[in-house]
Amino acid sequence: MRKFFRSVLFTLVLLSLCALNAFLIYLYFFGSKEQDLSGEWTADLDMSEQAAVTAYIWLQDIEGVSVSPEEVESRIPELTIEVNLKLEQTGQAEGTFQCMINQDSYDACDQAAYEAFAAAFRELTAERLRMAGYEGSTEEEAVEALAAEAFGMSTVSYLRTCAPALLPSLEELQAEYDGSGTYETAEGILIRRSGDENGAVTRSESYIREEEHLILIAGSETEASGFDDHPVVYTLKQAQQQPAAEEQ
Amino acid sequence: MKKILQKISALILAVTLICSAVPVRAAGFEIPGICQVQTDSGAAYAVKTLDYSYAGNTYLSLRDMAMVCKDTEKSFSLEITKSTVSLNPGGVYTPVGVENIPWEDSAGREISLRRNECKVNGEVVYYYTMIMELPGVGYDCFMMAADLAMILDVDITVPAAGVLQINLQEPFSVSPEVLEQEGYFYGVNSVLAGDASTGEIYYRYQSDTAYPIASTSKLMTCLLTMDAISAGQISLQSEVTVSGAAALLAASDDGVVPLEAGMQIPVGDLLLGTLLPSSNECALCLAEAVAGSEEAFVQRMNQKAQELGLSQAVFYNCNGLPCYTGGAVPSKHQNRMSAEDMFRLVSGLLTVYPQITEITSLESATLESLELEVRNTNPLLHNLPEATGMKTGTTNRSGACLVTSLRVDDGVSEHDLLVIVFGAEDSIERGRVSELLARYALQAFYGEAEKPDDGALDQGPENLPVHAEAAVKQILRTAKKQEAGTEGA
Repeated sequence: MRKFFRSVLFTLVLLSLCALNAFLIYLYFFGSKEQDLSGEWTADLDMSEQAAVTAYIWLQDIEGVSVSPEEVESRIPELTIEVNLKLEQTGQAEGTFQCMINQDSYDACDQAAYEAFAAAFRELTAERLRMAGYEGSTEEEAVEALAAEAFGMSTVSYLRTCAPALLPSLEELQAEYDGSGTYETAEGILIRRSGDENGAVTRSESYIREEEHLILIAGSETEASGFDDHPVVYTLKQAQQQPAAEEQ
Repeated sequence: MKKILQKISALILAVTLICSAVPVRAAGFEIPGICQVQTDSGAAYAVKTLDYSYAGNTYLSLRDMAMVCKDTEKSFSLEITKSTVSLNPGGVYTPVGVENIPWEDSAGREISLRRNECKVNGEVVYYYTMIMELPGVGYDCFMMAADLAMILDVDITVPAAGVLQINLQEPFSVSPEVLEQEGYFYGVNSVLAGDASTGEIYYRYQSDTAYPIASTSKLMTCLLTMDAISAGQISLQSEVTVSGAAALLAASDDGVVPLEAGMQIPVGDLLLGTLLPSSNECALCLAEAVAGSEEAFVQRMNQKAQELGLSQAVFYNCNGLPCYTGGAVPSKHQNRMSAEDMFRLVSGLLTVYPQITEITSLESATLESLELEVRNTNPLLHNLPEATGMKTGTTNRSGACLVTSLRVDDGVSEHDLLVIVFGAEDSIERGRVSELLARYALQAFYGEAEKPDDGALDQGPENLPVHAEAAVKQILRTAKKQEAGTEGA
């Protein structure tokens, strides 16, 4: 009896191994290595560090008050700009794409950045007013009123006009991210082509897909964009519903 | 014993009789002379001169010079008493009969170089002059050509030895570069003139070498006190208890303000005492109030110097007096700093605490807690309307030092110009070098301001500042205007 069970078990294990082997052989020779990236993806570009560094460099010029990069960084809220990427697989390892900066999120991010910048500037100005023996109010509203009188505009408007830009312009970001065209994947590389024949732009990125996340890392052969080549992490917002139907 | 006392009495009597018979002369001696003065109209005059102490250290007769300028655009009237001179540019001089004639006899006349009060258009200014009594006529006053040129705003040159050329049509101007070539600054350790608001240096001479700075050290003491006030550690009204060490200093030869141990003096009065009559004891009280002890305060002074990037600054005490280190053979130390370091220090002080000039620009003030009136030792406060004071300093080793600030306005914003003179031979030279450089700084500032593009370099759209510090300054100016408006109303 015991011998019988052993034989059955051995047979079952052997069959399982054969099936697994066959599956692996299939995958090796016939299965596509490229994953289906179809879907609507969204990424948040983090602008906090860039804005904090720019603000700190400008504010440290103020004499008599100490300001550290950490202090400025703590004042700057989380600043993100949304990028939407729509991929639609049309073949084994190819498809079409559409990428766009979310303008509303850019505007909101820009406003939040300058409001935080203005608050930091007002606080340092208030300290200097007190140091200079100013006897009027140095509350935030009072300093804002003084700034408005001094500059003829609000602190936020003044900083937008005269201080270094905290964020890249929308146009710069659009030039970097916006576009539509075709893509193909091969061995972990996503190649996107956009533009017409006269001005075709090719963008090559390494990609890693981990379930709901798609990580794109700009390749070294990509034209210098002026932006840091940080990985951009996209999150799947909506998977492609009917790829087969669309393919037809 | 009786004989000894008799001999001593006879000796005292003899000395007294000799002293009363021989008139006491001032420290120097005077060499009478004549120089030829030409004007650009072609007229030539003989002007009496007195060379004080040394040949070439020449002072001109004001009465003779008044005749030279008579009936010209630079005509001035004169009233001279035993200790004051009233000079009114534009007035008509009335001759008294002694003008432009050779010396008859100057011997035996009591005369000395003093910082006499002059009134120019009713405004009191102070210059070192020699007032001489003219029997039956009144007085004449002898003034250095450069001082007269500054008062009258005329250009004076010396084309040949014993000849003075007055260009009545040309305004007074000075070129430190030319003065340097002529060796004028051999008489000082270092000088620097520049715009503290922009950091622009107009002229510098040996400005990167450290020299003893005497009481100008108190500007650092003042800066640390203001830091403590702004940090809320103390206030202008905080009462400071006078320590035994401060009382000892007050009772010494260097004492200025009569402080006694245990007295309670407010910080405001101590600042006045430190900055106006340069009280060492008040500076010590401030140091002890801010840091607990002078040693701890000196550590802060040196730390602050490092923070401000004052590469040559070394402080040993809070007031600039010489101090001895312990040891079998004690070393004598004095606070040291280069003129460039001082420029940075005072620029920082004026930028962050502009209200400090409300103290330094006072000609005199009353220390309410002591009911004591103190006077500002800064000589330029009277002579230049733009001067906002600052600090004098003198020790044997440092020579005569003076840091002067001037507030000017180019129509866009106010600037603080600084003139730093370290190591002048005496207070006369210190004042003269400082005033010459101050006038040069004004000349350079307004000359720059006339250039159309220069002011716009740091300005963004709608003439708004692009740098954070400039932006803060613009808000401070607005706040100050508002305060002035409120006070005026």
